[in-house]
Amino acid sequence: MVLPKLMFAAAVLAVLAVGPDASLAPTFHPPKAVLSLRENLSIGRLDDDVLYQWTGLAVDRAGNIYVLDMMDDLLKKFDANGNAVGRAGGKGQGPGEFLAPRLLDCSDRFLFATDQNVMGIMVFNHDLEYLRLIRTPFPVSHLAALSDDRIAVKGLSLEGENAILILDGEGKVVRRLVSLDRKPGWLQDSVSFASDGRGGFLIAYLFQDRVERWSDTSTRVWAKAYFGGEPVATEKIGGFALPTETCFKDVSADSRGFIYVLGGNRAKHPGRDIIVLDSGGSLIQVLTLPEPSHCAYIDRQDRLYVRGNDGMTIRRYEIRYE
Amino acid sequence: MPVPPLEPEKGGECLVLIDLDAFYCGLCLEALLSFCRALPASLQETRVRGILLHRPAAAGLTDADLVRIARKKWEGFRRANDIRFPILSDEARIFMRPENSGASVVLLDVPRGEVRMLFLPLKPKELAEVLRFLGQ
Repeated sequence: MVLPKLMFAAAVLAVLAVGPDASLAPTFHPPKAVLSLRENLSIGRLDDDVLYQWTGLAVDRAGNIYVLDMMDDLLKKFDANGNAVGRAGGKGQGPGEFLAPRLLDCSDRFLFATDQNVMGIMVFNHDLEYLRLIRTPFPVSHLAALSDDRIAVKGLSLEGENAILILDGEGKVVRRLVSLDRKPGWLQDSVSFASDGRGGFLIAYLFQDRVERWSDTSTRVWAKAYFGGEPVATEKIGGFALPTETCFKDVSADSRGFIYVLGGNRAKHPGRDIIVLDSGGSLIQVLTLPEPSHCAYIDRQDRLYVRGNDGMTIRRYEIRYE
Repeated sequence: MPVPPLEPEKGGECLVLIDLDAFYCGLCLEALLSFCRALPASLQETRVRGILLHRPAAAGLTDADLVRIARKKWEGFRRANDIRFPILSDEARIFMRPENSGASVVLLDVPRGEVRMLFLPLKPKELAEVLRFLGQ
């Protein structure tokens, strides 16, 4: 009984995190802008067959871009100029195949991908060759590759472990970040997280007005609210009280220590406002994207990747520092 | 590809109404896919028509963009899953979108003079009924 519930929760989470946004009231008055964005690459158009609806995205050191496409169930690779250079996967339950691809990240040697219907992490090399499955006892709701043999994962749990786990390359838990605040109700502990590039973690809650910075797995440096701190609305669906609005959809950091948090439908511009914080969590400014995104990924060269055309386009922006 | 005309005397016909938001919902896509897989290709080609329903355009997108987006997403999904029924786009929003996004099946029951709607996922009994209705 627990597994179907978890799969249901995974599906709900995917809709709320990836799906279209409804708008709610604004609350921000950011200080003077110091950053700006300039688009320098666009992959996929409305009239081609390059991307149908990408979900997970990762970029390697060379700037190659990897994405999972949930409509044709493919893992796709593009070079730094946006040229398609490979694809793998496809619909199925065999090794390296997908039924509902979701999350993706990469280390220097590997790609780590998840499927909503698979309890584990699929490992590919950068040539898109499938290598193995790292099994997990839960559906993975978020992941971040820390190195070739360290992956941070958050599992979807009903009443179980409420932590971000650091796994080795075989799936063994080597550390835990255990102090995620659990509020009553389904999915309230859902988070997006990323390495801060300094050995610590940034955590943004999907259904709580809360962003945290941890210097390691045991020390929370700060936790802040940016939308007034009110609990999110919930609605009873199928006997479960499910959140109906999102606070934050994604979090990332650049090499200068700025933190970028993508606002959900609590933001003035749902899915479009990227709240830029300094390393202490103080608001620097809000960058507003032209279209809603489910993702705000920053690569090692401080380039921002977001969604365009409802998932048919990847837009890459140069971050300009005034 | 030319679309064969419907032939009510050989069985019923149905419309599959697909909300664009279903494309963001794993459970909705799974329900749609399992329904499509249950339909033999010959029935898909001859007795089924798909209708894409559109939601209001979001920021940065026009209605025309939304129609292209819906068609393209469908095309990716159709190709990946070898779905055979032809798809029509409800650009004029003649059909109402269901309250919860997803897909539904409308049975055009000519002999009874009735239209019936079933929401995906179908229960096994409902699926059997649809297959019988389509002449399987």
